Amino acid sequence: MSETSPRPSWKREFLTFFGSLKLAITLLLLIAAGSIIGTVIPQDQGADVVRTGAFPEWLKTVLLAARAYDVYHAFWFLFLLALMFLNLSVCTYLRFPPTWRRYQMKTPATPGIAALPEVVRLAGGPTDRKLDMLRKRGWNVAPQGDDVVFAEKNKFVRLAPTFIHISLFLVMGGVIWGGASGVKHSVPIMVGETVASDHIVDTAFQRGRFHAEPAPFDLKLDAFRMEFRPSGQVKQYYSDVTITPRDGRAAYQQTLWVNEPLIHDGMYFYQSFWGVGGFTYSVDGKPTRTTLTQARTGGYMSRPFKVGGNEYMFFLRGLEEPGLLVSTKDFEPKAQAVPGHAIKLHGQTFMIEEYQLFSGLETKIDPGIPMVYLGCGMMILGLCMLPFRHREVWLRRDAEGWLLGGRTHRGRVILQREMADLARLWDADSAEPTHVEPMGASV
Amino acid sequence: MNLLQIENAAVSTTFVAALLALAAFVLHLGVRNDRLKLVGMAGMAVALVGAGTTLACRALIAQHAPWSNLWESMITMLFASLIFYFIVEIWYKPRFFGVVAAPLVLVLIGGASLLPETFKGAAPLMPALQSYWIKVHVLFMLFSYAAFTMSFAAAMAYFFFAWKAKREQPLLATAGGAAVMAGGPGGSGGAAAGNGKGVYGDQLAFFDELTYRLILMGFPLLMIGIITGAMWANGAWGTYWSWDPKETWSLITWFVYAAYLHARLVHEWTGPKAAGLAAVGFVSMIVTYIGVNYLSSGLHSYGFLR
Repeated sequence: MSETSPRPSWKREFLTFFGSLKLAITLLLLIAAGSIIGTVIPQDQGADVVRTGAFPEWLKTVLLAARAYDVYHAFWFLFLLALMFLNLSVCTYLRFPPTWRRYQMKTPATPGIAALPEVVRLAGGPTDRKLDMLRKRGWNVAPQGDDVVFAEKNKFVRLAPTFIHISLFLVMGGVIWGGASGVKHSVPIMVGETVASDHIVDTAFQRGRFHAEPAPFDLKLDAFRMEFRPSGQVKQYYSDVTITPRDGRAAYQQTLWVNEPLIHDGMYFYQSFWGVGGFTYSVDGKPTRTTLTQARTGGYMSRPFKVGGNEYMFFLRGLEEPGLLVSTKDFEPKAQAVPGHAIKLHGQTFMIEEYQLFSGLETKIDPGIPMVYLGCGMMILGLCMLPFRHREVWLRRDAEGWLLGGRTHRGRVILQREMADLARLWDADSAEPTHVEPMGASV
Repeated sequence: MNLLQIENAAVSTTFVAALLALAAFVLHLGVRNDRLKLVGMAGMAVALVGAGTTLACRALIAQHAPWSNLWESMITMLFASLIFYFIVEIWYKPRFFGVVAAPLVLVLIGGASLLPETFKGAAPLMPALQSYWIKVHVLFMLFSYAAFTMSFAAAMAYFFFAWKAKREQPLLATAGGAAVMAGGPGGSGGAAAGNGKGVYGDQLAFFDELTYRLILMGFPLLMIGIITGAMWANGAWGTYWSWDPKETWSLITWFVYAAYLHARLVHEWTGPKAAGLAAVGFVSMIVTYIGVNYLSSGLHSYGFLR
């Protein structure tokens, strides 16, 4: 590593520290510990979660300072991630060149047999048949003169760590690219309403990093449907939409549902959420339409309206329950209302005619995705190499006969057994009985 | 017999077989008669067939991949754990692995059976889960959980033999290592006797390494599980990562095991420290699998209470 070349010492110290395994382990564990915070404290509700939470004052101060309510974007979390990537870069810089040199080498320098962690004595020396037996079992055999035979297996595994580390850079690059120039936007559309695509992608272009023109089209929500099972569970949510391109192409209808987005001109629309956006009520047969907004405590709330001179708000917890007419004087529920059923209130007839649903479509452009997926694919490939082991063995002649010494970068015990097996096979056609004698076993 | 009856019979058979296997393995540890180990392995084999039959019945009853609610996922994990158990038996030929693997198998089948009815019934899938991705994503996650469960068993075996070594070392220090070898043909008897770890040195080195091997199998599976989950999320919701609690915990588990894999490269981190880190990874995996549902609600809150 760095000791071999004369570098200024500050540089060497920098590389040693930032490329060290111990830093890697520490960072991995710190990031794991930091991530836990975000699974305990809600992350999508802002700092109020901490301010109004039941924490002691000192803890509140700490949590607020650490941005525990948005921990994955907090400076210290990003700093840890940045450090990890610095660690990865330095580690790759230091370790890849020697790894690559070793990978290209057909036969590494022969170590002294005593330096190898596992050594067994063989009953006989190498013959062509025996070397073929090794080759058939997947060993790459390279005889070196009369006294030494080198063989190795699964050399490619040596490249796996570098492969995995590079894939992490790709993933991170894709995430950063997508985060910087991609956009995600949620559009609630009431049934019967039309939105223009420009409105949806505006945000993307305001950032000025996008050069593609938005495909101009109008999107109209014809219907939002829920399909139920006999048990009453929701089976599926459907949005029937009409797309009208403004470039003269014919308008067309399409249905999208959860797990089945609508794709138009490279834009994706996902069925993301739904809700009750408003309702029509009638007082003595006179219909009025009003909107509902989502209440913080869950459910929907209307603006105040008058029935028989008294002011009410309409509260709806969910479609499966009756709505409540709540007096604005004392905020007590005064009556229940179900669509299609008239009720008498202050001498007037009040009825909910129908609810208007909205469908929440989410649209997204993320140019980083191909890079993220490429990185993910590489990572899977690299990780799948890990369970294999690279083994190197040397056959050497000494005064008493032949020795088999071996080493592997992981898995001492299994290497021991493997070498014993190998020795048994080796000796199977020798005149002498199998004789396996482990030597110099301790590390 | 209808399918439901076969399913129930298969669950009972699996439970009884795992219980008998555990009894045989415990006796084997006591009297060291290798026939008892074979009895235990036969019990585990019956449990494997039982779990497989249960899954097949459930798939036919529910008409979807049989890993869609908590009970089904536990049976799948049980099945996968038994596969990893036999991989270990066949490849590494341990002498005493069953005695730590069988209790975990029992916990899985027992725990699944004790679940309230709402988690068990064959129910149709909610909209977000109606996708072919569920077959891939959940299956890989459960197989990685199974590999980590078995690696935890190996780590526990490590601690068990470390404790035994500490207790018995003064008595057996001179008895030679041949009696308690890691087993397997031609294992290097006595090799460890000279390294200062005493007669259990072989077992300790073996289980240290076995924990590592199993984590090396579980880690790629976990990664594939996380990535297929991200791809599913991207297809269904348009976002591949949302920091949903379950996602985050799967990443935490990933980080802990990544730390473990790196720790193996530092010499002083093998042995008890590594086994401890493997146990931390297992706890993190359990939180990912079950505990997250108690922490807060998120995109993955289905399959549990709804």
